Order: sequence, then structure tokens, then C-alpha cells
Amino acid sequence: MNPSQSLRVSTMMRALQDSIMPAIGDDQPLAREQAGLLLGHLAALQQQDGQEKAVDNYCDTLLENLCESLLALSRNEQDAEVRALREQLESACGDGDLHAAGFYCERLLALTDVSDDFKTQSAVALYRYAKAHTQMGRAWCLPMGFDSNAGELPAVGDILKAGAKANELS
Amino acid sequence: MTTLSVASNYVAGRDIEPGVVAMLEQAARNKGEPAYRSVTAAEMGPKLEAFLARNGVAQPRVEGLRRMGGGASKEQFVFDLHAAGQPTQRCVLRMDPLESAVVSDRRKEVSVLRRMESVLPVPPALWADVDGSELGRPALIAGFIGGVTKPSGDSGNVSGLGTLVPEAFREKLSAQFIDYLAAMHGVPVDFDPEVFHVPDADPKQAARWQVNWWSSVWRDDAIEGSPLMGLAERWLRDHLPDTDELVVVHADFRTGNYLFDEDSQEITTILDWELAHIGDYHEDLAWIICHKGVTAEGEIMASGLLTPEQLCDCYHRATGRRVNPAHLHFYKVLSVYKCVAICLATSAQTAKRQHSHQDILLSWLTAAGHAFSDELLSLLEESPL
Repeated sequence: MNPSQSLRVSTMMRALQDSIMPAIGDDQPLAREQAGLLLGHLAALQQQDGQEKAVDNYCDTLLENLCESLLALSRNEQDAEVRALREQLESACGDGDLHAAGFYCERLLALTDVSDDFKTQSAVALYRYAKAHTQMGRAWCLPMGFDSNAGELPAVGDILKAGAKANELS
Repeated sequence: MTTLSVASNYVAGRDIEPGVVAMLEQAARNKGEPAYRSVTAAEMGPKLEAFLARNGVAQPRVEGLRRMGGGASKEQFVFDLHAAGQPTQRCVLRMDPLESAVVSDRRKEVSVLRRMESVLPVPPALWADVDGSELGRPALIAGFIGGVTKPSGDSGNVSGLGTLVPEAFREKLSAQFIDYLAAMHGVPVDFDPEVFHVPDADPKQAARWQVNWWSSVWRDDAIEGSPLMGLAERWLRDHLPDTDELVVVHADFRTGNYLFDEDSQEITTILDWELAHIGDYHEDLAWIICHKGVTAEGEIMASGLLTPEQLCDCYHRATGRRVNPAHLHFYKVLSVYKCVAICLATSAQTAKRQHSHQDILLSWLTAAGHAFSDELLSLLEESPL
């Protein structure tokens, strides 16, 4: 739709840079800093434009796979707390409530009264999930400039393509 | 009383510092408040004068009150204080917004600043409104100390994270940085037991208090579940180290939290004591190491100053204390866990509720949580299960 999101964001950035920021006096350091941050947010939004839904779907798929693994791995655990959490996780997955499932996965992994086998296998499953999840998080937030290993990161679009290809094959 | 923070589920005193429970419960109560409205300099001036008069300052007059930049947590103002029969004194007012990147306690900040005054350069803590009953929000007024956090012309990052100190400054600043760390860790830990509880009931208590504090912060504030944080919590609980020697831990001792004179390269003051507590000396070392600067050659510099190995060697020479690699690793995992909690949970929640004057910085800071998550994952992968 005209005007595009991209055009609107770029005009906001230009207004900030050319008119608003120069008008802020040196005696207003917080306002200057916040205007700079506003510019940074807009630049990041411009680079991320149009991909947020696909990124969320990618992360949901990763979480669904982890939930499946944790449910299978915890099947024989005897601790009452583990069993209760497992039931809640299963129920959340059955209801398609991935938001709740994420919290149940976290709590299930945080429990210490579990078998050594579950500790080992759940860590393996978590590492597989977290590698993909943190890679996407870092790639998504790359325009914000916090990543010291930016050169090693694939672009968001490339991660999404690789994820789609892997899903087709599975 | 309704329990609002996960921290209340622990046995206070045995498993978590009682002051931390009170602090997190208060923070949890604040979460239900409407959007925070920043106070203006014009509104604050008369309030300040009345507060100072009630606190024994003769005919106080506040002049040139203006907002300062920097910082993700406190509202900061600088002003000149004129009082009858006294020379003009430049002061800094640090005031809590409704919420911020970290929850902290002004009583602790005042207590530790006063204890450290004779040990290392710190801003003099002049007056405090610890519960906010007089100034509207909890606040501390300290003496103004000049200096910079980074050399002029160094662009750095507005958050203060990822700072690399230019090579010409590193040697001299590093030496002072270590000296002051050693001096702080030499202060007896029982200097104010009512405010700073000492975790000496069992050897693992210091580490347990920290894990329960920060896992409570994460669980109170997390916007979405993080399986990685779950595994990290399990690993931390399974690997609590014994603490050999308790010290005063600054808990945010890093480049960005000291000021120095650009010409002489002398550190003029150590800032941001709000998270200080009694704990394991490895905790400060790990925090310094986890705040990295990377040189053009790819060398990692702890707090942008010196390599992690140099830091541990210098610390050993300055204090005689040995750095235990397993304990250091535990506190590195804890340090990064804290960073993820601060960025992905508390900062994001505070910004979402519009509870700070720095919402825009806090939502920016949230993005750093993904880089810290990646670091947490790397640390866990190299850890014994």
C-alpha cells in the first residue's frame, strides 16, 4: 500500500536526523540520547520490515519440536513435580498454547530431581533448540549492534529459507 | 499478605537474602501501577529545597537543576546547592523511576557508599530518601565528581555494554581498576549487618542466595518462557560452589561504572553500587570478564581493559587469593544468566508497562538479550552436566 511502511520509516528517520536532532540543545543530554535511540529503532525496523510473522512462525516450530522431545524424554520420570509439569506441557501442546508450553518447557528443564539420563538427553535436545533459536534472535536483532560476532551470522531470510527446506524434508 | 514475587517461595535468610525478598515484593507491587510520569526539573526544585531544609541544610537554594543523560535505571539530575554559611556544592540526585532494568535498594547503596568512602574513590552519599516518602520516589543525593566513562571521540554504545577501552588508556586504568577491586574486597563484610546480611550459614549459601535472587527476577518478569534459562537454572543449582572467603561484592564493577580524568588517566570515582552485597569474590571477577571488549585483532578484553587471564593474575597478585576455575565458571554462567534476565525480562517488562523515563533505552537493551543467550548457551555447552 502506498505509502509503504518503508517510505514512512525512512521519512521519519530523515526528519529526526535533519530537523529534530539538530534542534535539541547540548543542555538536554537525555533528549539527545533518546532521539538517537529512536533513530536506531527506526533503522532496525526498516531492516526487519515484513519478516516478523515468518520469524515468529520459525520460532514456534522450533519450540514445538522441543516440546515433543521433552515429552518423550520425560515419559518415565517418577518425580511428582516432573509428572505434573509434563501433564501441563502435554495439555498446552494439545491446546496449541505455545506461550504456556514455553513456560512449562522452561520449568521442566529447571528441575533438579530428575534422572541422570533425562539430564543428559534433555540437555542435548535443548542445545539443538537453543542453537537455532539464539541464532535467529541474534540475526533478528543484528541491526541493534549488540553482537560482537556479527560476521558469522546468516541473514534472517537465509535462516528462514533453510528452516523451510528442513521442514519439507522431514 | 499476598505473595507477588517468586522470591517469597524461598525460606528468607536460609535460601535468599531477606532484603532481596522485600525488594522484589515491592517491585512486584509496583507492576500494577499506571504509566510512570517523569518529574520535571521545575517540579523537583522546590521539593528538593524543602527536603534539604528538613534534613538540616540551612536556607537551601537549588540552582541550575538539570537532567543528566546516561544510565538505564535511575533518573539523574545535577544541581548546585547553596546553603547559608557553606560553600556552593555541586550535587547529583539519583531517583528510582517506578521500575527499571534492575531492582535495587537505596538503603544498601547509601550504606556501602558510606563504608567505602575511606577505602576508594566514591561519590559522597549526602542525603537519602530511602522510601520515597519525601521526594516522591526513593532517591539519593551524592556529591558530584567529574570525569568521563570513555574518552571523548569514542562513540561506544549508549547502553555502556561492549566497551573497549582505547589501547593508550588500558595499562594505567587497568592497574587502578584492579587496585580498587582489591581494596573493596578487603573490607570486612560485617560493616552493616542489618542492611547487608552475611551468607555464612553454610558454604553454599552465598551462591544459593544469588541463584534464588536472579531466578526470581527472571520468573517475575519473563515475557515468554525460555527453555535455555530453565536449563541454566538447573545447571546453577546442581553446581553451587562453596565460598572460601566472603567479600563485599560490587556486582556491577566494569568499565562504564567508573569515571576517569582524560588527561591524567586517573580514576576519579567508582559508581553504581546499587547491587552491592556480601558474596564470593569470583562473582565480581566473572562479571568483569563477561563484559567484553573485542580488539581489532579479535582478542577478548575483560571489561575492555585486559585479558581474562591477566585480570585473574593481577587479582591474585593484589589480594593473594587464588582464582578457582570451576568457581569462576559458575559465576560466569550466573553473570550471563543475570544479563539475560535484565535484558529479555525486566527491561522488556518495564518498557511494556511504561514504568521508566528510559523505556526507549530499555526496549533497545532487550535486543542484547539474544547475544547474551548465545553466550549462555556456549558456557553451558562447555560445562560438565
